[in-house]
Amino acid sequence: MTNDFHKLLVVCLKMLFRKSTRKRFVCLVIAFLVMMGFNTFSYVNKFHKAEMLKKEIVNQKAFKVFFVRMRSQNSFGRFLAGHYRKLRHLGAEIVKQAFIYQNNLFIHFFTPSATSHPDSSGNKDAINLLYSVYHIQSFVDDFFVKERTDDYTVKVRNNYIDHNGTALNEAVIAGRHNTLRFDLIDLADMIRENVWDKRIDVYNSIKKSIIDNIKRIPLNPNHMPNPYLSRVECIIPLNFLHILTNIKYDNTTDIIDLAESVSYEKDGAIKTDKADLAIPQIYQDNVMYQDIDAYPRYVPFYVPQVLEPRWNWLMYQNIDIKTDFMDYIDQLHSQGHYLYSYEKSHILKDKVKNINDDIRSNHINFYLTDLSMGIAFPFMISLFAFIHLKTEIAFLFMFKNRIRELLFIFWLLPVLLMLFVKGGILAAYLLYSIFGDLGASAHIALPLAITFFSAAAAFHPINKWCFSPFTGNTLNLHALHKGR
Amino acid sequence: MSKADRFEVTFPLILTQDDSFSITFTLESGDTLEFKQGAYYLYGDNGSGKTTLLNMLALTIGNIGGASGPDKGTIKFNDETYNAKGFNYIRAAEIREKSFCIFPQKAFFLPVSTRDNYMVLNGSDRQKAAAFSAHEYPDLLSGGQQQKVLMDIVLDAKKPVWFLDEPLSNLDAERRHYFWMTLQRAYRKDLATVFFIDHWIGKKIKDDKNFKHLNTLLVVTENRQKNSPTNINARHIEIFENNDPQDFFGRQIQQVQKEMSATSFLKKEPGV
Repeated sequence: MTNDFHKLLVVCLKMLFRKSTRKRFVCLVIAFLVMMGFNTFSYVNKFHKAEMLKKEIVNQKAFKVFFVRMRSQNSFGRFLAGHYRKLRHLGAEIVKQAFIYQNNLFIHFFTPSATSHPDSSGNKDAINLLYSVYHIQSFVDDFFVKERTDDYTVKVRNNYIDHNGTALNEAVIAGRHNTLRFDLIDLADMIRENVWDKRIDVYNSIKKSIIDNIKRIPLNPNHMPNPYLSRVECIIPLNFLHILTNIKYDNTTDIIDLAESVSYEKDGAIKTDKADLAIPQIYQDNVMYQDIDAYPRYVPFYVPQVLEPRWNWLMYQNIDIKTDFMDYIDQLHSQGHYLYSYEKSHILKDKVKNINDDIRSNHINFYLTDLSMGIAFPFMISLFAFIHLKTEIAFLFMFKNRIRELLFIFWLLPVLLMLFVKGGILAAYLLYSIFGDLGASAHIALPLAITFFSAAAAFHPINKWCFSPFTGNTLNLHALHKGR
Repeated sequence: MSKADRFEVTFPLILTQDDSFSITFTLESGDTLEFKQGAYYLYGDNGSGKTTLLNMLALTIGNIGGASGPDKGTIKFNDETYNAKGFNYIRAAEIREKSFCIFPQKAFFLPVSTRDNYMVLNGSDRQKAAAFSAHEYPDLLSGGQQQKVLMDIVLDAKKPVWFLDEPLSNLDAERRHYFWMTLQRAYRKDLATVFFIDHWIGKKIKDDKNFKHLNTLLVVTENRQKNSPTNINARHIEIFENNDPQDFFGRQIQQVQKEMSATSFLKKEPGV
């Protein structure tokens, strides 16, 4: 800034703040600052609330998995033939080693070692997501008893999780437990088909040991069932059924060794061969579980990108819901492939619509109000400056060519006030978010910057128009200097 | 700075404002008037348009940049025509800053200190700026003191054309002496052309053999307001020219010095 410009700026400020005009000018400036400040604060506040809701819904794991009902093995086969390709095309993938039967989730518990984890990264993410949604991970860690054993055997706890029955009374809990035991007996009996001679005795003995001694573990009190999937009553390690399947298909071990391969320990754990606990070969890549002919059951579909942030041309991010997928599962639902927690899909769509509407209305409202204020108040300030300083400015122009500088100064003053308000609120919000660990989005700077630059650009010709008696082709400095 | 600056005015010169008021300057003899080096004195009644003409020459009143066509007269300064296309308010301001000094009828200042006034309105001499007070506000001075301070601030010897609109009103002998001295010093430097209006010095000018009558302007003002009868007035402005005004300045200085001596004599003998 040159010394002359600085001097001119100081003189202009002194003239605006002289005694005769000081109060009126200060009132105008304060009104500008307060109105723009409240408006910007209101926008930032709503932006923050919408942003938190947006993050909550986009990160909601229950919205990344949908359970689809299969009525029988034949209908499941037809479903795979008719719809699987389309679902994959829409970004959905069947989760192996998990299904819901009789409101109970059966899911395989993988050992903590990476080698036994699913090789497909998509299925690994899906299993991790289910573990997370149902708060299983700590249970899985406890499921495998950590004690030094040989390389061929493993000990697991004979437990299942009571997912949503924490607050139920003892009689109901006992009733649910007995029902689960009968379901497990049914499933074990389905697996047992085609087992004959003395192996059936070994099979029944192992089945009885597992099912009679299986123990209910309530959900960790720190965890609440996910509200969108809270209908699931119990979570049962699919590993128990895998043990039975592996026993059924083990034709190489002699009957004595087979009877000893699975033993029930006094501490409530099951000691078995690692091979018996692993996923049976026939189930490795097969989601139908033909031996466990339990229907209807709900098969999980993992859709990691059903919700994604999406940029709008109004310079904000809202939520993009994968409409094709949602429409398709609605269509499946109406065709009898009912969704487990069907209302979840409608809740999801409603939430996305509401949040997107809120984001849009907040931004449109902000753009309109901020641009209105960002143009109207600077216009008033320029008019104020012209009306109260025209005598002085005309006198100055008689001697010096300071037209460009004067126009720049009276453009700059309101623009700096806007910058002060918006920059201050933005900086305060970002600091508050960083120190409060609120995970605020820096995207908020974009609408603020756009309205700031738009108002500054729109105000430029308006400011020039305010001083048009000095910038037209009709000179009358003499009259203006006399206050006419 | 060259002393070859010149104005050329083509008549009739018409100034219109808001389509309701117009003032027409017509030359008594000929249709072109030229102002070159020297002092020009404009003599006329109140309201005859002297100040308007001065302001039109000084680019503070008028239609520029083609806003009025050549049929309404033209003013040229150093071959730049004010109402030619392409001539705009920026160019006008540049010419005013570079070449013109306008001394207004009434003393006026920006509402800041005298030093800030000098820096913003003139600022050509940093050393001279230091002589102005950074704390004194000119509005608090008396009328005569304000005239003197205003002279110091706006009269710039580096500018070749001065427009002096009744500069001597409110001035006592001491300050009139200061004024003529300032004018004389400036004329020895870069000042080339002086226009001035003064009601009290008219007789002296007419009697001064070095001032010759250049021409007479017929000024017709026409005021057409709605719901009022049209008001037309005709006045005259006489223009006198002195191409070598140094003697005139010297005589004015001597005369004021005499007045000052007489005044000081009177002051020494109270009761007279």
